[in-house]
Amino acid sequence: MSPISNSLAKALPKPKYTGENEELPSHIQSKGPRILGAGALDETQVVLKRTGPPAYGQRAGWRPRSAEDYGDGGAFPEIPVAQYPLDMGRKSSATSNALAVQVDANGKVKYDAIARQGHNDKRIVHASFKDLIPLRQRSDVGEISLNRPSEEEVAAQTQKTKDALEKLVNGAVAAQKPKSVQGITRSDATYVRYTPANQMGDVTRKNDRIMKIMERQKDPLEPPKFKHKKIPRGPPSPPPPVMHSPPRKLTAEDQEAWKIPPTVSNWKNPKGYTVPLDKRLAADGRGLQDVAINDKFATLSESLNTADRHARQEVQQRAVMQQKLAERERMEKEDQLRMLAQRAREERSMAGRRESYATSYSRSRESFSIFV
Amino acid sequence: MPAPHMGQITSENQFHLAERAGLVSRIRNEYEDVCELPPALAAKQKTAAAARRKKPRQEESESATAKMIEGIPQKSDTNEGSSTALAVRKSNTPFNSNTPQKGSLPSSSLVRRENIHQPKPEWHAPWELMREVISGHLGWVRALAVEPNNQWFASGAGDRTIKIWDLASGSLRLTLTGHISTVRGLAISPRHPYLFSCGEDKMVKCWDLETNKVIRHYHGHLSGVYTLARHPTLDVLVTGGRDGVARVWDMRTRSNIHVLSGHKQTVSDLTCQAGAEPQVITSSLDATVRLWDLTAGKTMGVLTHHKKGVRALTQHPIEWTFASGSTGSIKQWKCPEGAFMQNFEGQNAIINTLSLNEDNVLFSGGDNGSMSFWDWKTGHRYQSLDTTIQPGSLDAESGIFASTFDKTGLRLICGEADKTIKIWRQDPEATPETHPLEWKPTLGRQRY
Repeated sequence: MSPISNSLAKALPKPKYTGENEELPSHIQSKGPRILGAGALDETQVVLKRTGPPAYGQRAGWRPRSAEDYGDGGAFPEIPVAQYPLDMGRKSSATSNALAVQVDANGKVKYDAIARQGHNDKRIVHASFKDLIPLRQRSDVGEISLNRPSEEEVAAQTQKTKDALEKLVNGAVAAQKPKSVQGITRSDATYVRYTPANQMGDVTRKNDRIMKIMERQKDPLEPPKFKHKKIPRGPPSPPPPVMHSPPRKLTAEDQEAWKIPPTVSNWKNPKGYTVPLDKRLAADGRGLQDVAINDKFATLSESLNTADRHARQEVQQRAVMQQKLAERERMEKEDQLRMLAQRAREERSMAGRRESYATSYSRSRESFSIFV
Repeated sequence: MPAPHMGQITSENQFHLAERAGLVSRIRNEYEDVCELPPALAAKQKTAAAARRKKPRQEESESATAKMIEGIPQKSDTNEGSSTALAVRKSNTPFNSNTPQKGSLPSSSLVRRENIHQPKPEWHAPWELMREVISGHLGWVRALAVEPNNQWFASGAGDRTIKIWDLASGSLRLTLTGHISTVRGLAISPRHPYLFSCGEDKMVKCWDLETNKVIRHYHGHLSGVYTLARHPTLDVLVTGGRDGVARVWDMRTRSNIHVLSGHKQTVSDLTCQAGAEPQVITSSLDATVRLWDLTAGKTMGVLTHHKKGVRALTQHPIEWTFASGSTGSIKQWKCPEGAFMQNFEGQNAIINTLSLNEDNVLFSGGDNGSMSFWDWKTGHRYQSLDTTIQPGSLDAESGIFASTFDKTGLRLICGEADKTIKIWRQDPEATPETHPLEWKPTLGRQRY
């Protein structure tokens, strides 16, 4: 302390009111645990965690806030605030949309309640494994009737459907008619006789009044006052349970089979890509088609060949035959000549024997025969 | 246990009764499981007993107790119906030898046996192509409908025309033009002189067959209309298409009564039935079949058993059942609740069309031209063949798009991708002797 303040304190009288033993007003009092700075904490101060309500008689300005404040007991009637000991009576802010567990007659959990949520009870939901078993092999169905419904049922249902659809059709038709445009037709005015009753103790007789009530005229071309607003869609109904196994995984060969090469044109390449030669060839399509030659070509050439060979053989044979014929003719001629010569010789020899009487004649004859 | 008459009770009788009650309870509690011999052992013991029959009986003292045991009434089985098993099996033979069951011996057979009774399929005559093949269309034949009097039938094709053919002779009677894209659906009304058609041009038309002109359009579909059906008793038309909704039209006023929305993809086929709900059944390429409540215009149920897009749907003419076909699987359903009845297994193709006649023959036509004929009751495929494409068409042009039985059910009309209409009939000479039923009950476990 400085000497000035010391002297000042000596000069002044002792203060009457120090404020040390005064209670703070309730709204200033700290409610939770006291928060102390690091310097304020020393060995002498021990912080005790206080649980439960303060002692009776010391609760002025105190309010129970957490569940601990109640200790094991109930509400404090002398404190005029809403109190929820053990959270009893507190309205939970977030309502859970979890479904309550339902069980069937055998005490088994009905899991199809999830799939049925949001549908009416007539909805057909197949959700259990037994719905995958063919009906005749199921144990729980018993006798199966495949009959169509009876005549009366059909007639009743048909009538019901007809009425329902007729209603819809009539509504749709009426909406299309110009009569439904507002303001064109005005309903007739109604007249009402009005006799005033006693008013405020006034019992004097009053005259009847006749009132005409009619619809106020509307402008038929007036634009609609209220804009039609689209309401956001409600949550969708749960999807139906899937009653089949998941699809097979694609095998490597399947993937291979689905690989389709990109198209490569030999005529257009607007982006100017460099196309490898093998891709070009593959895209060409010339190698893809195998040339199929009709069998008839082969048979035709074959038959042509055989016909040709056949003709050649025939020609050859004919030539051989002709040669043979010529040979024979020549031989015949030679034979004839030879015979002629022989005959001539014989004649000459005959003539030689007759030379005794006609030598000169025979000689001249022989020479003649030779020259013939 | 039958209660004795109260008036007759004497002290001796009471003692006897008490003794008997004690015995009954004891036997029930302790010897219930061994009360009856297993059938195998019983048979063995019977033979042994027959051999030993000659021996005289000595145990006279035990006879009173034995008589009492004999007199124990059979226990009435109260929980007979409340079995928790899902599938029906014959009770006296175990289906799985690894799990010993109460009251039955572990079977001595090594092979696990499936004891589901498989009914024998009915015999049907095989189908053969009739002489005429109608090749009058210039495009795929995508829709067929037979007239109620069975005199003629109509076909709609990719050449944008509807042609009307004589059923007996196969000659062209009429060509209706007016659609500007493929005609995808046809229906002929028995109560009006009307023909309804729908096409990929988003149009649904009503033709008057007295003047052969379009008299009404049903406007509203946002994309191609792929299928159409008329209600058997009400003046109502239902169409479905690529916009994923089925629309219910009033025939006369052309107003759209209901928009049945819920499918996530194209509605590929639909059928209508009179009477009880569901009156409309639609199949879709999102692999679901939906049952609709026509009165309210709401979904009654969704069948999600198919794995791939369902393209075909057909109804039984008599029974309250229907069938749906997707790639490689055809399923049969029972109607009001859509309970799964059975699979038709064997045709591994995209099923484009299904037809069913009154003789319980189900026909399925595939996208690759495969045809199968099934027995409706048992799901047995008794005939399978491929169509013969008309000469001059490519291999890729074998495919069946539409099919229908005529009103008698004796002729099958198929519209195909090779631009022809083929008419099939049952072989008139076939008998069960000439074409025996090729059916073996399967032994393997069935997968569902």
